[in-house]
Amino acid sequence: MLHLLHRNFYALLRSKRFWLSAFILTAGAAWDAIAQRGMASLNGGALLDNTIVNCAAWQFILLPCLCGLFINTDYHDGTIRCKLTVGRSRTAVYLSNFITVYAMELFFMALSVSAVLIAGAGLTIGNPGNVVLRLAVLLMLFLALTAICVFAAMLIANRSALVVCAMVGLGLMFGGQAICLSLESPKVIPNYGSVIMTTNEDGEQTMQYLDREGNPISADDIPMIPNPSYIDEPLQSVLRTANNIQPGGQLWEILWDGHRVFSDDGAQVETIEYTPRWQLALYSAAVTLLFLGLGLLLFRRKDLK
Amino acid sequence: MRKLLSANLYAMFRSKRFWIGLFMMAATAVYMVVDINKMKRLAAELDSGLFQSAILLFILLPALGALFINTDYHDGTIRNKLTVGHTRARIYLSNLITNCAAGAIYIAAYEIIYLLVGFPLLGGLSRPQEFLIKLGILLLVFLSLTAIFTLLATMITNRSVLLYCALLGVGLVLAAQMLNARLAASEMVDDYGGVSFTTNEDGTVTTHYLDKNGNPIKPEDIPRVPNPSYVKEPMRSFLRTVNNIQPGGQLVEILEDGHEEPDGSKPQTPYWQLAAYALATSLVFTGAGILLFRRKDLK
Repeated sequence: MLHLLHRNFYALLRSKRFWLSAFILTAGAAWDAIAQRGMASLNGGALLDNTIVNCAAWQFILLPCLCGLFINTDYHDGTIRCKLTVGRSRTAVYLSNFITVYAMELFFMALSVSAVLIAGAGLTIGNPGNVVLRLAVLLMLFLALTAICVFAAMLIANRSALVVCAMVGLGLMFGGQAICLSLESPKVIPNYGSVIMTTNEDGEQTMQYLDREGNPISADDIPMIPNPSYIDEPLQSVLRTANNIQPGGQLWEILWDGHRVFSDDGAQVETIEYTPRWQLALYSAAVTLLFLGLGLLLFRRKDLK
Repeated sequence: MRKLLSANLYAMFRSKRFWIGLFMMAATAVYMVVDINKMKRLAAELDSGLFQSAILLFILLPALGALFINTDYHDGTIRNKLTVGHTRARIYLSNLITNCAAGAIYIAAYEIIYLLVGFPLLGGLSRPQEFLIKLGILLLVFLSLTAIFTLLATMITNRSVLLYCALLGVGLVLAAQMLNARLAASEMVDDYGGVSFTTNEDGTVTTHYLDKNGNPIKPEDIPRVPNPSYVKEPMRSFLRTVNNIQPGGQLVEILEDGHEEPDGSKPQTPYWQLAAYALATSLVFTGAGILLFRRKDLK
């Protein structure tokens, strides 16, 4: 196993793509921090909290691509048979690839966070405890993402594994975002035509609502109608749970620091709710174990020709 | 050339990936009609979903096209094509035309299924002429996208080209959205501490602005400060032109019916201009591709 890991890390560190990705991620993270520094002059209180965790979005796209490319090279060059011929077990080969890809992610995360902290030096972190906790959950969700991508890349020997891995990353990420946004729809929505803003002599701005025929209507009298986009139970709970389990949904839960929920009574009161962090970490651990176990089982039976 | 096209199309139609892509486009069409039908009560119409599959196709087409072209390098069939006497220009153009045909088939499949399912549920199109114009420009946008990824897939023989092409479409669309957001930022911004809303007895809603110390402040007294995110000239015009030229920017321009400006207006880049840029991009990338492919060492 140690020999396999040694060889994997050697190959990784000699890869131009690995260093190019590290450079892109570091530059992107530093750029975000510098932009945040620019905003600090505007309201005097820009925080680094979200900037530190935001770099995970780019890693979510790059990690599956690099994972697919790294593992598929073994099939493409035929080195996977060399590894087996010299006596390494399939389990050791699978696990060494998994560990290498996750170590790469840890390296990327460390680089990005360091870049934000260095480029954003002088800006404050509002809630350091929360940031550390969010980073820890991110590391767990990347463990699950690594398990999924390694699973796909190890079982598809064909070149299309690269496209599959890239699509898995994009699909989970944008699918998670789409589900998050659709679950945020309120149950009822106000049914008015338009709003007119007027500023009186005292400088107060007043909003006048108009109905669909253009007649003035009091804010209290605006009829509330069922929102066609609202997702009812039990699908609501199913989708929320699916999004809490899959790494793409977890990503948005962490990046947005919770999810918005509207009250069902039509009062249009919006609150932020959090899926407990321990629950997200637990789901990630379960997804990791599931895909690792399944991957090892299927890879043992795989015909490597 | 005809033989090359015939072989390419035969290979394309025998590929499972092509049919999976077609199934995805058809499923998206049905899903869009069902989704819009739910919004019927809020004046949603058939026209609103006509081009919603374009973003999906922007990701699918480069990935499929790159896989298709890279197979020639992977299996060594590109040397067979050259050995039997086909010129490199013909091979390049036949690949480009095959990928364009795949894109056109996907778009046609989506539009036909969308309209067939949509007519009985949502009624007719309210602006059929606009549909035809936009469809024409969309085809040109996909032509320029195809020209770009065909160049990439032909010049990079390595497997990694599959990733570059898969990320190309997403990258172009995301870059366009980020540029549009930057260009929509206003030059000056209000520098106030907060806002409070109160509902009056007559049902109107009054907005009160507060300064940084929490004291009420009149809207006209709110200090205006330069927005650090505002993009100044000449960078502003340069970025707008880049977004008008690159296929991702053109796609966003078509889907969102224009782009937001800092003053709140939403002008549209003229369609003829988008079409001209798309054609020029296609010609430049195809010309460059043929030129570079002629000199490429195929070992």
